[in-house]
Amino acid sequence: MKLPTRFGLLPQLLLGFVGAGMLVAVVLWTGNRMLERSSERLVTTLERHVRPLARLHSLQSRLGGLRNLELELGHLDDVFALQSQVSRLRAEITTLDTEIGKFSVTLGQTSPNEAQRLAGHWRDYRSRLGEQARLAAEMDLASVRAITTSGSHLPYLSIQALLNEVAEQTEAAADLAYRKATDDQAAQRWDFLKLVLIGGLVIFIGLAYSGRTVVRRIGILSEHAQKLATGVESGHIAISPHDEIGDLAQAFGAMRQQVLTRETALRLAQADLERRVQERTADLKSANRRLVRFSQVVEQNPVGILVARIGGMVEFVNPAYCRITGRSSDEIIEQPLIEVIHVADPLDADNALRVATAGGIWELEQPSRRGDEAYWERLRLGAVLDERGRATHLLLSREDITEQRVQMEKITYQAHYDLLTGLPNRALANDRLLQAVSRARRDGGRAAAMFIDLDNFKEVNDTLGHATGDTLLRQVAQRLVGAVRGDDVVARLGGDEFLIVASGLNHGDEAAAIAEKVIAAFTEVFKVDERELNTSPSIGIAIYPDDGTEPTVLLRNADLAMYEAKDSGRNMYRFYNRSIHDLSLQRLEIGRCLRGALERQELHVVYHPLVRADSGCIIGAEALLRWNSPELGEVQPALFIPVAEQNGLIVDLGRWVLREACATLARWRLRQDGFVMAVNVSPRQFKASGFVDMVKECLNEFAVPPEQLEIEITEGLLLRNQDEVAAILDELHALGVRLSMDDFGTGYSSLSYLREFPFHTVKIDRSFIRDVSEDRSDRALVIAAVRMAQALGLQIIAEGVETDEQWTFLVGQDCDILQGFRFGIPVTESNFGKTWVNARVSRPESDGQSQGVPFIPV
Amino acid sequence: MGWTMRRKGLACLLLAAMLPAFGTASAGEQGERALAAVKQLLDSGAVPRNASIKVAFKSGNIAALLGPELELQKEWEQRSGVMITAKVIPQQPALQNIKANPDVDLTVARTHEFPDLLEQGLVEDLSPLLKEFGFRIDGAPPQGYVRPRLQGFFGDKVVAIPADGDVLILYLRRDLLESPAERAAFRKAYGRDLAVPVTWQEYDQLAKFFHRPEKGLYGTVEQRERDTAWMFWLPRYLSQGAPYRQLFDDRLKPMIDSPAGVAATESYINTVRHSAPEILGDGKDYSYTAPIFMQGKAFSIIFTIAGAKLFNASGSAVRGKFIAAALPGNRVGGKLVRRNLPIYGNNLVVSSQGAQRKLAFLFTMWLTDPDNSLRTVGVRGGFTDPFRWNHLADQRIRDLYTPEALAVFAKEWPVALPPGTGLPGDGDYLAALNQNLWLAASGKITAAEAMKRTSREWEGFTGRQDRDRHLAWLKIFNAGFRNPDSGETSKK
Repeated sequence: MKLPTRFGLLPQLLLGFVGAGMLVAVVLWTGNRMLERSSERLVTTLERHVRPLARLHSLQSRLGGLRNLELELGHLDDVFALQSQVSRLRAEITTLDTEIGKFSVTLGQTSPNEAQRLAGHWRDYRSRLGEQARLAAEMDLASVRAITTSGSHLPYLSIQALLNEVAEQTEAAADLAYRKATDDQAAQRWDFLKLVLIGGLVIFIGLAYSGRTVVRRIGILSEHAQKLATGVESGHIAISPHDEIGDLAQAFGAMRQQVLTRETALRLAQADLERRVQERTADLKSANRRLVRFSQVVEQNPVGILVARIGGMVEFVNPAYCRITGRSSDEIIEQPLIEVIHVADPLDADNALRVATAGGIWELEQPSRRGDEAYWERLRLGAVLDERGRATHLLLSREDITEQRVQMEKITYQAHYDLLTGLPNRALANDRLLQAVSRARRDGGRAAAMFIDLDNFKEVNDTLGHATGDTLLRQVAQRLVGAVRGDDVVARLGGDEFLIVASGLNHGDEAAAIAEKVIAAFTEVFKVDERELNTSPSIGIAIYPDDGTEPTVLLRNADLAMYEAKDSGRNMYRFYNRSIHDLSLQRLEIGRCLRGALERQELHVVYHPLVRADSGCIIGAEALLRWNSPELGEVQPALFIPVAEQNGLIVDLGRWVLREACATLARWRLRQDGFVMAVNVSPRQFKASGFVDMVKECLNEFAVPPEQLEIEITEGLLLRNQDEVAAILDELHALGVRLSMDDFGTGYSSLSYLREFPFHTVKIDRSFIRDVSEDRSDRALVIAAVRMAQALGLQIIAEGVETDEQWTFLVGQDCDILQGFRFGIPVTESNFGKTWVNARVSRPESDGQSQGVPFIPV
Repeated sequence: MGWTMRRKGLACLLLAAMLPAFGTASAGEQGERALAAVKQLLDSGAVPRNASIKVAFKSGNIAALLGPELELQKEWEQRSGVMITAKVIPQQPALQNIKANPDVDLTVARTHEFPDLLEQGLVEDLSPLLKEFGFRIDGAPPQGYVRPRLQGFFGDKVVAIPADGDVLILYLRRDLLESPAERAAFRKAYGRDLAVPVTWQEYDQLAKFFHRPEKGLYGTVEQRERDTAWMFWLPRYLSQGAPYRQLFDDRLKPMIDSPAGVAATESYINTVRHSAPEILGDGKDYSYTAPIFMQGKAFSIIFTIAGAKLFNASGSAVRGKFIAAALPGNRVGGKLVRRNLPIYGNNLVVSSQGAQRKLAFLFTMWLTDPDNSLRTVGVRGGFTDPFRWNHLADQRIRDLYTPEALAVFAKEWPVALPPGTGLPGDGDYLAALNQNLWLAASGKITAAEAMKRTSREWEGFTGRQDRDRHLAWLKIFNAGFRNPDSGETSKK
């Protein structure tokens, strides 16, 4: 059998490409030669005609420039510029002479007549320019201008006209040659195009034949492949095996057989694999749900969590960790744990890792920073164990505990500092005083406790309100702090009481200096809400070790000294001394003895007459308390009343006095109709619960008409708790009891008090009556008080009347009632009953002598 | 970066150490050091690579300062890499030019303008720059600047780099002076030999003698137009006293309303009678007077050394027929006192408002280098005249100006004094003087009236100023009259 001749694809392709390439090369070479020849002809034509034109143009330009120089020359007004211009003109003449000479030679070859004319005109123009240059050098600019205008103008125009004429001729010749050259070039281009078309046609036919053969056989092969892909049976592949496509067909047949065999095996394996995948997917879903829950717990945990490999890098941080530290996860992840743990002491970090790696728990609370923000955090580092109990990772939790710390610090602060003024409070002050004493004890020095109480502060607080009082206290605190030394401690003990603890003193005088600075600091008025307020300090000073060695003793003695300062007139300081101590002891002694004095009947009531001013008739009496102690003797009311007021005994004493007075009144009213009994009531008694009921009870018990009982209260009572006081006064007024304001003039002497409260009587203080004869201001006040009371319909009682002159004056002012030693001293009930009830005192005569009952000396 | 900084610092130290060693300029060296300093500034980044210098010159200065066909500008740009942007400014005071062109780095100013420029802070004190780059303003021959303390300093401050030398020189017709017929006629008329005048009276006598307008010859064509009157009056006034006559006393009271002032003014106005008819016309400056002398129509003229360049040029009718002579003076106490002054002077000033002050300064040092400046001095059509001692020895310049004229030029500098009033507002003071001198020269007022009016107006100007400050300025200015020039250097 004869095998077909084998002619492979590669030889076929090579033969085709070589043939086509040779054909293209022949076409291109031929076309290139044609175009080159055409371009050369065009360039030659252009050069032959354009160059002379360019030279002509250059010549015309230079000639124009020369003419400009010439024109400028005659009009230069600067001698230095003129010299320069002449030089340029001469240089330009020389250059142009050369240029025109060369051009004339060229021109002479084609147009000898024009060349001759050009040379002639130039010679003429050049000679005139030379003359101008010479004249300009001699500064004869008028002659220069004359030549410019009349001499050189015509030669210049002649040259330009000639050059223009030559230029026009040259341009016409150039245009003709250029058109011919472009026509030739167009013909060559058409020949080349025809050649390209023939070559392209030959190549196309060859490619079409080869392509058709190859494509048909590949189509058969493709058809069998598609059937194999779709599982359709196909028969024999009818492709002759004389080239590579035939080889491919045979190989494809063998491969088809193998594919069918393997396909069967693969289907079985696929079924098994799908079953296993479904089982595994179910397991993964379950694990994934657990993982998601765990992840949410960690992600949403408010505590910052960081997980790092032991001895390795950080693997995970939750959002809370980033929020707390102010760092992004990118800054932390894959960083060594030691570098991101961020503790102040590097040793702490080392220790933390050691403890946690060893299975322990390391904890730390520390201040930290988040950018510019400071915060407190709690760190906790421990190991994460795997299923076999081995530490594989470290878990660092980070918690922002700023809020807790702030609360804790706030509590601590509130425990030691006064929230209003920011000064140390009593507890901290005691601690500081203890420190000062300890230091003085150690150093052999001195320390001072300076107890300060503000004068008149309560009035401010009561009249202007607590808000104003608080503001004043804050300002006072600032001034105190400003007045003391740097090491001294200023504390607020409460209310308007402050304490200064001065340590490191060598002598008590140093404490005096501090006290004087404090007093000086109060000289300027305080301004609160545009209102000017005055307050002053009363300071008591106790020195360690002279006045006590224990803080409590020093504090108590300073307090006593402060009272001494108050009693001495306020706005001053007093050192604690023996007399204060003694006075304190005396007060204690009085207090001790006063307890039970009532039961022991050591107290009694005396009565002082109230006299009608115009008639001298006795209209009543004021009941006054006296104490005759078996141990202390006759104790002045000024000594025991304050003690009783202070320790609360005044309430019982006051009740007893009221009852005594009412009992006495019940008897005397039977002897003198309308007899009035005045009883002093202390502030504490007045505000004691059940006071009004007690008055009512007395009135009822002793059947005393209420209008014959007069309750005397001091003006100071009205300054505090006005609403409460007003209510009590209203109740008393409702009972029908007379109300009297005692000691008028010593306090605020407020007209509004008299108008707002239901008083019946005003008692002018004895201090004004005493000097009424000599002191004009006292006299004026008494007159004003009387007029005011009259205007308000109140009765006036003048206390402390001692002389006839005072009586006469007061009568002259229409004063209603008088009281004083002019009429006698307070006496016991029996003496009063004998002497004064239903009695009358003689009024002074104009010569100063009295009438009626004689004056009873004190 | 640290190494770069250290390397730059080291380079600066080396440069600073080397520069003082070469502080005194020698031919070509000053320019090379200026270029090296520019390179250092560019390399260190202190000046950006694309920085350029903005210069503003008057039209005649462009060629004179940047060279014919701008050849010096091209060379500077090629060698330094720094471009120059030049603009032309009008012929007006530097004060107005600098104010009108705030972006300009470098311009020119006349010597008498320094007080105004300094007072208004318009120009840079160059002393720190000289120190920084190790240059000295040397006044010593054979290379130094001519009288730098007179042309570039105000007090201790270096205000400008001199780039022109403009003392006055008397030019006379040699052919007439040497003519036997003229000599005989002069002896007959005045009883003495016809000779170069040494006093202003003799000068006036010669002008009168040779004044023959009917024959086309004027006795003198010394400028008498209004705007430059002070330049020709001041030498006459300064030489009225020995060693010189001051304009103000030590309390700022003008001293011109005096016999000395009247005498100087009369000498000034006397020439009008022997001069060209239009000599008083506005704008009739040297461009009017110099051609008259050049055409042989005048016996004498007083002009700067530039006159020699013009009169010696080809085409000049007086070429080879004129001589240059020292300026006349006055006899005081039996001794001749002569005083001269730089009247124009194109000194280079660095604007304090310029962006590239250091580069501008270095350019001036390069431009005024002994060698480089030879290429600008004597350029025809330019204003720049010799301003370094080495210029006087250069053959090309000697041919241009004549050796005789250069010798007189050298002789005049030692008697030269600072021009102007030395006070802020100098322009106003000089304008008042110019106006009154012009009125006197026109015959509208007498010389005495001119001095009285000027004195009154000057007192008015001074009264409107801070007198103490003016006194301080005057003190600095007067110190300039006393300072010697030889061997002057800038303060280190």
